[in-house]
Amino acid sequence: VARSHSRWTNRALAVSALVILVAFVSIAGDLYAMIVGRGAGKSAVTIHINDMGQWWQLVYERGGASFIAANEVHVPAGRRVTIAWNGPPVTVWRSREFLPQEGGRFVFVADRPGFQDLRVLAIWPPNMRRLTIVADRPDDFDKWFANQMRPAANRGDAFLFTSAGCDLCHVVRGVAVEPSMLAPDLTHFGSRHTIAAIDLPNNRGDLSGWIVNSRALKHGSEMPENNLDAAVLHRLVTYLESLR
Amino acid sequence: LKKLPTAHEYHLAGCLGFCAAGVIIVGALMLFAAYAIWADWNPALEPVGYIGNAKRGERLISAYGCTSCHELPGSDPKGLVGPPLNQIASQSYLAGHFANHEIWMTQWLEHPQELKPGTAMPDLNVQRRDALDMAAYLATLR
Repeated sequence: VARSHSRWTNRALAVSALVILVAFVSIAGDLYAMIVGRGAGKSAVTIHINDMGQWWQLVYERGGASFIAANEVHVPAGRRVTIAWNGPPVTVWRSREFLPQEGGRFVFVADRPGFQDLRVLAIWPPNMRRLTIVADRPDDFDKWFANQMRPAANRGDAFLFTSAGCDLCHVVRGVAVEPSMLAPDLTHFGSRHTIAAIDLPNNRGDLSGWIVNSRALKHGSEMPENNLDAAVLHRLVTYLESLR
Repeated sequence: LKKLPTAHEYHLAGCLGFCAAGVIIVGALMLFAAYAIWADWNPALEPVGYIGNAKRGERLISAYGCTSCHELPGSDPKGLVGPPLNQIASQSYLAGHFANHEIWMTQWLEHPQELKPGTAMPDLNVQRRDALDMAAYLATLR
């Protein structure tokens, strides 16, 4: 068989073709991210993420307005959002690339509305966690932001929140605001998709079980067992679901 | 006069008939086995007297969040709030009162608060079809 190249030339060609292909895909991904980032309008939204170990406290800032939420990160799709991470140093992996950093802050642009999974990689101690980001259409995000600013109404079964002892750790703005220990803010709990940070879906069954015995469901959960009276439990769950 | 078969022909016919019967029976069994494999049919997952779809019920059990309170086979994490349901099909009574049959299990899944007012098990707004499917799944847990 006549060969135009020697065996080693063929191998070198194959390896360099592979390298060029990988480089091309990687550069194309970076270019795509750059184009999406350039084209994205500014949103002036800054999200401070305070790493609390088992969950995340989120402090939203936009213009002069700010509020505190937990665990479920909402961003406007197609806009640049600044994420300030307060905690052990991490890098954040998105489906294709690491999030670019500017002055210790991450810049995030969601190219389309929907759910996105980020991987938060802690350097030391080595650890990987999932962070779900919900990208809303910009007008939906404005509505969501305005709604989150509002406190909850102190009526109906709101008194159960304090009488059951939830207010010792949790905040519901407008109902209970001075916890002695810090746990996720529940002011608009009913609008979230997940509980246990992001480990369980936010439905009636999972929420009831989580309130009564969270440590069976999540190793290292700091929430104590709450052996509430069954009737109180059901009314409390209904109340929490109504916090939209 | 009708020609009688020779002894050789007579035996050959009997042998062919036997063979044909065997082919038909074995063929039918193989067709049935093929269909059962294709349809993913498992007799253990079709408890007698239950009309629900146990496979769908198994998915619904975790979707409704039952595993947050009850331990079920393969559930991780294991809920410790309510009783474990690993052998619920072998249990005689539900909630210490109702016979463990499809009708009561379905009612119990749909309206625990009506059947036993004040129970810690919440009304999860379970639809009838979902309750039948979950009851069929629970009936497989012997």
